[in-house]
Amino acid sequence: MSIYFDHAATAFLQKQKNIFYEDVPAIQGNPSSKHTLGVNAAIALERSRRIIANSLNAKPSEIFFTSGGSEGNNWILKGITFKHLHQKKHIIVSPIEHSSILEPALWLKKNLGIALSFAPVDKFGLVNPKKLRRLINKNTLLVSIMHANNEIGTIQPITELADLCHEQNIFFHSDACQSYSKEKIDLQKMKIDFLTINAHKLYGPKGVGAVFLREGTELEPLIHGGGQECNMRSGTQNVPGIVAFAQAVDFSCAQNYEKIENLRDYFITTLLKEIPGCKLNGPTKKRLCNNINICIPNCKASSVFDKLNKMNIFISTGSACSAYKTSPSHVLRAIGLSEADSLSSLRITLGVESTRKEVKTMISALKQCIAKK
Amino acid sequence: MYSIDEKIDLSGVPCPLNSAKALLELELLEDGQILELTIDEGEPIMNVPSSLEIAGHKILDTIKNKNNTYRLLVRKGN
Repeated sequence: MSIYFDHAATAFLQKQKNIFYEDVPAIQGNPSSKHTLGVNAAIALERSRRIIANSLNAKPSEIFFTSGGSEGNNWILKGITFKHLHQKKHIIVSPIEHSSILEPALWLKKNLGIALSFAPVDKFGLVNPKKLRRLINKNTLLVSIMHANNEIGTIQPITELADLCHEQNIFFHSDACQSYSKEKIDLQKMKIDFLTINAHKLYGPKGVGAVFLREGTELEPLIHGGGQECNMRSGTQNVPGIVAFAQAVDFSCAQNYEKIENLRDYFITTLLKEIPGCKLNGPTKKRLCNNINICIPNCKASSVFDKLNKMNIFISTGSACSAYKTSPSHVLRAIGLSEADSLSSLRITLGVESTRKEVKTMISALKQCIAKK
Repeated sequence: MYSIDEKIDLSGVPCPLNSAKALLELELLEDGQILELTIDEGEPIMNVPSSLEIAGHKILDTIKNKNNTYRLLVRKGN
């Protein structure tokens, strides 16, 4: 028996849907081919685009498929900068963004002389709109703030932040890879110009994603070539992956996230009660329904991780992308944790298949690991 | 004269995306209803009618417009 509590890293394809394989024979054509098989693949592609657009209350023509969240984030930051380089040269991000935002932002600073500011976050990881406003100047081109944090689950006041940028005539981007389908996103109501989403956080396949580009906004493509995706993202589309993505969106949007939230709250309450000194990192409210991030002071997280791993209990010590780094999490450091506390923190993320029994087993195992140290 | 149930302008949309969009639009109609399509000359007028016929729809009329586009009337189903 194994317990998988690392859904923020990836959420598994749902076996009952068999989504990745079932439709493949019907969509083997290249969606740019003009024969019937190409048309069939193009239909599958457009149907998927409509499902994703509907889920966000966007237009299908505003959805562009990518290879995933990192490509989407890189594209937005670089594409918007390349397009407007001669007009504005200032970008604002939060310090708790995913590395696929932070690294391109630093790259743009180093290579193109972009001015880069970091919107401060409080001890829960929240960006304060008033503090963000103070950073904006007439040279500001783009603000990029993630919808929900991948490590501590903080849900930003995204509507308010987007409104602020809209009033100031500044582009607003949000990385919604963790929140998409779990939190309501209505792009008719929210004044978000660009949004990044991906498939594998919501029970779809890895290597597939999309970006929302609001009609009328302009940015440069990153990948040039065959002119796919209206010349905005060349390269033959991953049709089976995209079909599976759309099916996963349908699946994920239909789930009862209140049930997961209740399980999360039970998990947190029990951990805080039964593990002496245990502290919750991040907010108690305005938190992703499936996210738990705890600090067990004086306990080496990598050692606990290793012991749990041997017991077939799978969690994380940080984001999946930084799990191999021994340095403390930049997110935990940004919300004020000491280096020692950062290295004593664990991330546990639940999924639709998680059960109370698994939670109890995990807590019991965690106590054993701590006792053994 | 035919009574048009739905219209879609696919001028500027390349092949095979124009065929895909036309077929998805036809999915929303009842059998026997009529879709009016606008498509470009060149590849689109060569490819789209045959794609629609292969999918089981009937081309009722093809009219060349003054702006080098074509107006197609398509009946859903045969």
